[in-house]
Amino acid sequence: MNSFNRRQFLKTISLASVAGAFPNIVKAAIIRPHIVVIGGGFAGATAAKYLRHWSTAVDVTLIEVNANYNSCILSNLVLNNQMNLGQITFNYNILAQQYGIRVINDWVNSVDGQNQTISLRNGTTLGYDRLIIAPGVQFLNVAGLDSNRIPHAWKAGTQTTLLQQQLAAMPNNGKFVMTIPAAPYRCPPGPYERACVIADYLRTNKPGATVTILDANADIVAERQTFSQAFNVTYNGIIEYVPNAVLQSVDSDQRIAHTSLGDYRADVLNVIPPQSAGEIIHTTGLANVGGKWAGVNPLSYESTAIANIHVIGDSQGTGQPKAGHIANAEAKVCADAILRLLNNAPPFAAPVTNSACYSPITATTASWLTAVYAYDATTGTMKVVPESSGEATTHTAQNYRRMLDWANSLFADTFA
Amino acid sequence: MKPLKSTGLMLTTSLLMVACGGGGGGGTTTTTTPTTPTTTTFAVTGSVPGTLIEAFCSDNRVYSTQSVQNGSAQHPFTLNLPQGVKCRLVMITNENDPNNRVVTPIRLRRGTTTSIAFSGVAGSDVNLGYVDLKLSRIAMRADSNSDGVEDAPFDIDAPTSATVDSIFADTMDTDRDGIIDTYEDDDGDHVPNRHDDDDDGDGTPDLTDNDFDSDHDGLGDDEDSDDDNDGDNDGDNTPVGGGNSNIIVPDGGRLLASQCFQCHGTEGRSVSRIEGLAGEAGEIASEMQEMKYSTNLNDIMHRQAKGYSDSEIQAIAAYFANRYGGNSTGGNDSDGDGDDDD
Ligand SMILES: Cc1cc2nc3c(=O)[nH]c(=O)nc-3n(C[C@H](O)[C@H](O)[C@H](O)COP(=O)(O)OP(=O)(O)OC[C@H]3O[C@@H](n4cnc5c(N)ncnc54)[C@H](O)[C@@H]3O)c2cc1C
Repeated sequence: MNSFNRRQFLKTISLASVAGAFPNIVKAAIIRPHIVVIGGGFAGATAAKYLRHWSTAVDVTLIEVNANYNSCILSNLVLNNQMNLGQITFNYNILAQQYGIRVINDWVNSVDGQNQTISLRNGTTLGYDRLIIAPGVQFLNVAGLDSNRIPHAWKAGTQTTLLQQQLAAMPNNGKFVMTIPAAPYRCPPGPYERACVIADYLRTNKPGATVTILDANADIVAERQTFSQAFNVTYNGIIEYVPNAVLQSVDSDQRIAHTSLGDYRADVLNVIPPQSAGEIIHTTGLANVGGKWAGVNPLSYESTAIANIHVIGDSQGTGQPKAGHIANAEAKVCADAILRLLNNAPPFAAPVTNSACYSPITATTASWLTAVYAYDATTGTMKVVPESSGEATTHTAQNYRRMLDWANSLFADTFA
Repeated sequence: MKPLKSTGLMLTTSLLMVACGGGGGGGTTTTTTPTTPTTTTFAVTGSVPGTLIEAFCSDNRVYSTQSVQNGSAQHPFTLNLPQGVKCRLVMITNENDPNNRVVTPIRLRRGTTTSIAFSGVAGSDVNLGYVDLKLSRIAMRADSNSDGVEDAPFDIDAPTSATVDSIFADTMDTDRDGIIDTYEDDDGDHVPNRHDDDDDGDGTPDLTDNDFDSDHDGLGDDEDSDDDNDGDNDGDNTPVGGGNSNIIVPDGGRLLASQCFQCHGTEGRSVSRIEGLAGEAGEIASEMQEMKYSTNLNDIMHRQAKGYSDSEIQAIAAYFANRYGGNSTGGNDSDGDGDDDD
């Protein structure tokens, strides 16, 4: 371990507080560009951090409705009691104190792209030179679905706790049924990972219980080899995988999923609804990809609909996966581009992003999935570099340990 | 950055001086940094054979108090802490005697969960009971580096009123050994950083040592050729283009290299068992090339390496080479096998 990071902690924070107490007297005469970031998830928090890490000449305001952020990553491990929510909860203190980011806990009601202002629920209006919007996903309506009783747990927090409690209360020989929406949705391997983790929990805690996966897709969307092996071998007799089962409606009282392939009744029903970009993307008029996602130029993540607004993370519509690791990667491309654009220089012409994902398969083993995306100048899109994309050949205990290290590192690169 | 540095060091000085002083055995409660008036505090109470109790909290303050010398072997103490912040407790005996001072980091245990960070709610006491601190170096549980700091934190059962906060990436304990960084002994001179006037052993006292790391890249400003992290060497801040002259535009190496940080840590300083890249400048290019052309596909980094062209790999290596001047002191290969990727 580098000796500096150990010993500098107190000194660093005291310096940071001085910087806050005497706000940059030296530079007071210079007009400082103001960048506002909406959303403090993996995308927004990283963008805010790196704007300031790379430049002390810009002011950055991060607006996030919640004071604490519950990571979806590793949240499936709360369901089988391997982790508690507190371990994957982060706040914005370090971003505020060490990086000098102004953090406002409020909801953004609207964005005025013409006048470059945003309005908060508390009535304040803020101006921006550049705006980054990273609101994640919103869930689309499913007839009859009441997510307060039939949890999706696809945003970590109270929903995660609710699903965990329902599983704990499930009878022996009970039926757990989950539904997966048509791609694209947040975290391609996530639902299959969840099925495995829950099957493992039920196997030891609820003898005779089963897992049914109702997938709207024609086949496993991510890590096909890993998950088909897990369903057919590791959880043979416990997991039933049903492709092409499109959810039509839900009976939230009886816990029944009505699908294109018939009705499925459950003791615990987990409906992951179809998703689209976060609400503010729609109200701002940025959802120009299939009416669901925000079209952007992947060199800068600037919206193709409105100038000076950038969209990163799950809400963007570039075809890159909706995942936290790559959201962090997109955020860096966006922050770097904004600093260049503020200087009248073009964005870096050949950005690369990467995705890395570890999936727990049992309580002690995990697999991984990875891919690198490079900018393709001919089509103006991010394209996967074919050789770079692949999954682990087996789930191992070593991968499980690396999963925790990977998550630890990603959390720190985003929030600390 | 220069004016800020000197002001900062002055404040650091006062913080460290008050915090290190230890006081003189009285029974008074002192808070080492000015406290903002707050009504939402809770009390940590208990008794110890030592005198000084310190709490390092996520509001960036250090709270401390001394126990009351009441003639018995168990000295009661009360330390008021704000609600909603995560604190780490350290208890000290003989705090004024450098050769006999015993520093005991405390860890809370509940069921199978243990953590050095905890928090509480306003008005609800966290009573730790009697904490069996050691009073002399000889009696210490373990002190292999003879710095007067217990090698491992001392576990006490968490009172029900305390929340045991597990923290994934603890910025106060970056190597996650339960000893907060400020009580590590970085230069191995048997004096923990908190009591060491020259933590890095470079011969320049900390108070005048200008190696503060303004850009958090792990290199002190003295040895950092780019201490504002703008990708351009210090004193060479020629902006590109005609926009805001205060924003500097670097080449693509910075952006490409930053895509390694998700796993290898911000600026390549790892906070986990994954290999750090800082200080590995010379090896990055050759290792990535090797992985890129390897036929073993059951390794996540071998896959990743295939995503980068040779010139991109060169740019990434050059970024780390520039930042770390090819020195190899900053690397982190904490699994000790010299290679975390096979
Ligand atoms: C079970 C599960 C497992 C996963 N595992 C992985 C994994 O292993 N690897 C991986 O890479 N990814 C994983 N993911 C995906 C990852 O969590 C998401 O892709 C990631 O969180 C997206 O980041 P984001 O910043 O775009 O959105 P979010 O993380 O959702 O953040 C958006 C933030 O914006 C705030 N917000 C929204 N609108 C407003 C507004 N109007 N005003 C103020 N604030 C607002 C929200 O409160 C929220 O905090 C997983 C997801 C799930 C559900």
